[in-house]
Amino acid sequence: MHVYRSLRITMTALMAVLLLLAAACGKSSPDRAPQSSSGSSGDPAPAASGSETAESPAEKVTISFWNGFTGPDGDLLKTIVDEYNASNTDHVEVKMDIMPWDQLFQKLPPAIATNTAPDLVVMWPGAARTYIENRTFLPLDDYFEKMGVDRSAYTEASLDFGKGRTGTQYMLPMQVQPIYLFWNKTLFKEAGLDPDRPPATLEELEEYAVKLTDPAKNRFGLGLPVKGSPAYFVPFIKGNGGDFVDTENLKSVLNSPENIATLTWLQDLVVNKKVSPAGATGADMDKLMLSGQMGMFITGPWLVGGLRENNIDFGVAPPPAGSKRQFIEIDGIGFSIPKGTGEKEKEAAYKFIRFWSSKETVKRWSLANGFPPFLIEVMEDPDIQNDPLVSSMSAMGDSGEPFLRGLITAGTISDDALWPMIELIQAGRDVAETVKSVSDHIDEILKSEPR
Amino acid sequence: MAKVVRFFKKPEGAAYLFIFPALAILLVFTVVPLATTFVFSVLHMDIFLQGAAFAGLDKFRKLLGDERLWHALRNTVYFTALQVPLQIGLALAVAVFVSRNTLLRKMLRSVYFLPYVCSLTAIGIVWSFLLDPQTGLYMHVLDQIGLPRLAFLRDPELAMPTVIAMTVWRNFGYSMVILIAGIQGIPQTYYEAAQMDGAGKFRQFASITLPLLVPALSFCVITATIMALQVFDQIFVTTQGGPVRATETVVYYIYLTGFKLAPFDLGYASAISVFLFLVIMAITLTMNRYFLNREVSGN
Repeated sequence: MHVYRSLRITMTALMAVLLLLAAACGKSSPDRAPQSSSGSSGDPAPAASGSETAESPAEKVTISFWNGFTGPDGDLLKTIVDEYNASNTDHVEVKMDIMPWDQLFQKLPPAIATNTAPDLVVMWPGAARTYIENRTFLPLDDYFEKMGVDRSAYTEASLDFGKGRTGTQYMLPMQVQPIYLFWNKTLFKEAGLDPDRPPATLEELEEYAVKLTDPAKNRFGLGLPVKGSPAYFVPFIKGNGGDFVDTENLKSVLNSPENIATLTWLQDLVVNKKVSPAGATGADMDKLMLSGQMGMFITGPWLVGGLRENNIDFGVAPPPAGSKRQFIEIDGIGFSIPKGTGEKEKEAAYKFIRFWSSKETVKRWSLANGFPPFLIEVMEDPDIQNDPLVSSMSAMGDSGEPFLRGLITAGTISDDALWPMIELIQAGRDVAETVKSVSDHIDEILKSEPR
Repeated sequence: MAKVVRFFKKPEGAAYLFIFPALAILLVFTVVPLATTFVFSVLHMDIFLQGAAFAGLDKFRKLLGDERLWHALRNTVYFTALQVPLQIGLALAVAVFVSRNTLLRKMLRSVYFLPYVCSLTAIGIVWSFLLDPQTGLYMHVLDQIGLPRLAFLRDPELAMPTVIAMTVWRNFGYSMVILIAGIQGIPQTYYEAAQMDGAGKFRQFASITLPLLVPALSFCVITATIMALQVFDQIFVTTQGGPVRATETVVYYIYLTGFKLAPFDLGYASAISVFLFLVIMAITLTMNRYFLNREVSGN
């Protein structure tokens, strides 16, 4: 009997310890993230912006910032953030956590659910839709007034991509990235093509791609990936007069004769003409471009750094026009503030965004990475104008349109319907049948779109 | 208090202290999540844990009509049906060969066991590099000997066999070690007696080794099956369920539903998990009963 009572006591004690353990695993402090500290303890470096701030008694606010800039652009981002922290004029300390995008998207939802989310995060609009819809990202409309920033200084496209369907601003631009046609000038010369004349139409694109392809040298004319890449097929579909979703009536318009023709053409390029390795990802294509084994690839500006590093002689142009029009897709990366961020931290995040959107930083980021600037004034800057790459990209940056504008299911439509469709088509499936079933699937997805 | 101290001073009391760390880990990382999954499976809930509402058996009804889940289940069964026999068969063949204690055979054992020490994730990444149709080393070798390039992980027909081969290569060493222990536990006198009766090598294997190895074999088969039905890591790093969903397994689909695809339906992902739990339990119990019968009849 004695033993049993002792056992009960022991088990109760064990449970208590366990609960304590569980509690310790959670958040240690009820007040989230903002480890506020006084200005003097932050050990600010004596920065150019004035030493008076170094000993300022004003309270310093620390904000956490998650992003996925793991590439070479991340190094510059880190430098800029370090300089910002050192300058200390805003009394804001940005604690940045760079992780692969995949990991970020796995961590963020549970972090928001458990109130341990960062105060600031960046992502592209397609990925942000879910957060906007379930109100786990805060509206940022008051940014302009609070920070004394003029809305009209931004290009229209850069603010557009961060808006919800009703026009509320949920993201502020960090960068804009139209997608471009990159081409390898050396391979053009070897194939007897004019290295300074990129294909202007889809017919030319096909013609060049075939000429550039050389299986004996393991060389491909054009990269047409099946995932992990910007939606390069959008300029083809829209350029030939087709579309994906009627965003007014929330209906799929994928199953059209124009689209079937365009996708049959795409299938022929991969399956019969073999201009692209079948079933490859965007990263595989990047590798082929960087090793000089691929003639052309439609992708985002992040390829620029790697191409330069590998001494590839390359050109950049808008994607070729279809039979009906030229469509330039614009995407971007925007700042968002997750739910649960306190007022103080939100304001600190605003201050950092204001710093990021300053003319100097925008220009620096653009010139280093080849991204078009999102401030009108910076676009007209002589340094930008004189950079042949950035200036040609800037021209596109202003005329681009977002893809699946404002749909909260945009990410799902893209990942779960359109990309698998491209994969099926490249695997040689019947185009008309595939398009029909994918179109039905899109209608199914659209049912969860708020009406 | 004194009573408590006295209790823990006794060996049977102290035992509780010793198992406490293991128990705590089991409770926090296995029992609690398992119970939570059962609860979530009857709720409408997304990963943001917002607006949970009771769903009853709705999610299970949805599951029955979910084409994609059945497709994933077919893929999982395909994987298990090939991978487990291959892994055990290879492990058994190698175990018989290397079970005697000579220096060479001891070394071979370590070599065969080596891949099991590496994580499946790392192995998946390395194999993806080696098998890359454009830049992979194996392609270069195929080229050199004049064979056509194969797309392996990018070919819908070849992707699953490739993942299976990779998994067998990685796991058979583990089964082999257990089988070797089993073989070495068989008294040598049985073989001597058989030899005197004129039994050949194969007969000895079929009539002595195999029947006496049933306990070790059943352990290997059951654990390998449970692992195979939960296949995820190697698919996550090599094919992400592709190409054309040819390697999309049940656990990968659970991951997609709960964590990857909006609206992050945690309730439905949990319902599928419960379903998979029941499938695995049914298969394990059936196998267990089968092997127990074999052992009894063997005796």
